[in-house]
Amino acid sequence: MNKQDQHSRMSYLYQASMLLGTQTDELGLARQYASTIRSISQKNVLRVHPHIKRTICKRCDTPFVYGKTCRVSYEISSAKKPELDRVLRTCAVCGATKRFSDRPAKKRTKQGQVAQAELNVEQQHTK
Amino acid sequence: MDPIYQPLEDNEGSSQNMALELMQQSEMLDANQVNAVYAEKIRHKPLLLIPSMANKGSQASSRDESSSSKKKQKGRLSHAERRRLGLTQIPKKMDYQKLLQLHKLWLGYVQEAFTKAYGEALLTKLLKAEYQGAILRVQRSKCPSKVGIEGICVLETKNTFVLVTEENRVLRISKHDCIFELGFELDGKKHLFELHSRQVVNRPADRSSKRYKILGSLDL
Repeated sequence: MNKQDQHSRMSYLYQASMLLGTQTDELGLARQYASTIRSISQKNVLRVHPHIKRTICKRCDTPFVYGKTCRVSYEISSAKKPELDRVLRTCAVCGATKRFSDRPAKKRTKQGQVAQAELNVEQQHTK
Repeated sequence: MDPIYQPLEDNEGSSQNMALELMQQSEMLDANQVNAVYAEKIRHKPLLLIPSMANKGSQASSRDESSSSKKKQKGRLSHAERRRLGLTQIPKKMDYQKLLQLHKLWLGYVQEAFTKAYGEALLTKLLKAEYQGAILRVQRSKCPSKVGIEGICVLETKNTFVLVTEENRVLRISKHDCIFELGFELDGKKHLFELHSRQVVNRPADRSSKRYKILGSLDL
């Protein structure tokens, strides 16, 4: 239907925004394209894949180009618990931050076995 | 010596600390006690002149600060903030050669979007398509100086197209009372479409969800 057209439009705009962000210095245009993606998805009630959403600043719509449009650093919250360390990404334009943790995914099996899985995870860390 | 502050001449041997002196005058403490108390409790403690600053490290105030700053950060930018950061400006000169890469990408999008579309379906798809990256040309206009301007559309707003010409000029052309030409090659066939201003006066995202009626032709 109509939706496929808008999907390909959004996909083109995303590629265009990334192209401008990496190859040129026209971040203003790149930002406009990214914000058009957002408006199209809102108007047509289309879902954008989270992997794509994570590469665009939530606050100012700048496409993230590591080193150019964003700064990535490592946050150590406590010396005793290395699993709580976070990767901190700051938008170079508007200062919006996002923290990512690399916690191991807990396997959710049957009800009774969730607790066991958590125990295993703890044991792994204490080793 | 400090040029502004000059000590009083009465100071005869006040090499000792004022606090120590006062304590030595008291009748409650011995000499040993005086020294001990001074060394432990008074000597290395800073004197706070503004008592409220002592609360800066306390939990309650830091929680308030972080929650209010978190709220501001997570939201979207207000228009004033965008203007302050300079996000609403477009440069006056842009490199046409670099923008040809963008046009190439647009041609790829057009190939994908308009395959297997004929007749009226193609026209509706065209009205809802993306023009940023296309090469637009002003075919007819109420204003004669605009006719013949051709360039890569780099930005589309509600009322204007921003075109970059081959001479790297950035022109902002009003959509009103203009007919634009959009030309591209599809499956070996060359297509040329006319965009009438009344149909196209809309923000790019709004165009995608609008239903189109056939409007009358323009008086140019």
